[in-house]
Amino acid sequence: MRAKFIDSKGNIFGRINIIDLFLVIFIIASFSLLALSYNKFNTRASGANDIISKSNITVRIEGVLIPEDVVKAIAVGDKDLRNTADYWAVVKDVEIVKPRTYLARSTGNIMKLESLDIDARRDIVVTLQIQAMKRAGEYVFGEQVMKLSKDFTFITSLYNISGRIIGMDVTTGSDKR
Amino acid sequence: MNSLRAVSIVGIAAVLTNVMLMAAIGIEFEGYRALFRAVVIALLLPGLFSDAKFSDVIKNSRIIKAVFRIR
Repeated sequence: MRAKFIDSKGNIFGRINIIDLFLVIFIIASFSLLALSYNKFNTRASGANDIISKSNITVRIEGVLIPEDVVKAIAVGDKDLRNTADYWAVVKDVEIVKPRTYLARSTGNIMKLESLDIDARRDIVVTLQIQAMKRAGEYVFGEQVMKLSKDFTFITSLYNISGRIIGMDVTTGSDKR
Repeated sequence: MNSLRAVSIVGIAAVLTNVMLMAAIGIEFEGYRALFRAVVIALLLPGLFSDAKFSDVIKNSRIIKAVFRIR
């Protein structure tokens, strides 16, 4: 006779009832999911938000192929629209740098710029004085995380420039413990 | 419909329908979600090969007996 995996009373191998097994695993899974989600969403416990300090940072962003009219609009002392008591950003310096003749694409290949492309466009380096918040080791301006080589957008009522961060110099509020 | 087999078939069908619906709306089937569904199906599968009555199985469960004070 074939060995019964489940007998007529629902016992697996005559030991544990399948409903009991189901409930036990369900309860264990529920508690483990609860623990996992608690760790995920309780940011205070996981330490994601516990270090908040104001930091003064000099940030240099590199804007490539910015239209000349936009470059002319950028002036020292321009303030970011989103300035609050916690975050602010001010233009300290604008420098027109030697234009690139090649441009690295995000796809990985390198594109040669024709004179048409770079006509009336400039490559600039903008120095910004920024007060940001340090949160979990990262410097945050509003919603933007500032890191070397990451894009940063500076917005005023007149223009909106986006460039790659090529330099960060933390002047105050660095790790002093 | 008082057989454990019928309950298992309905349960497995429900899990598979759930997986297909989630795939249709673009929720990726991976990680804990996939593990949880795999466990549920693994628990329901033995029921397919059983001739037990579902009411007998329920009555024989120690947890059900303890919770509902069935003697």
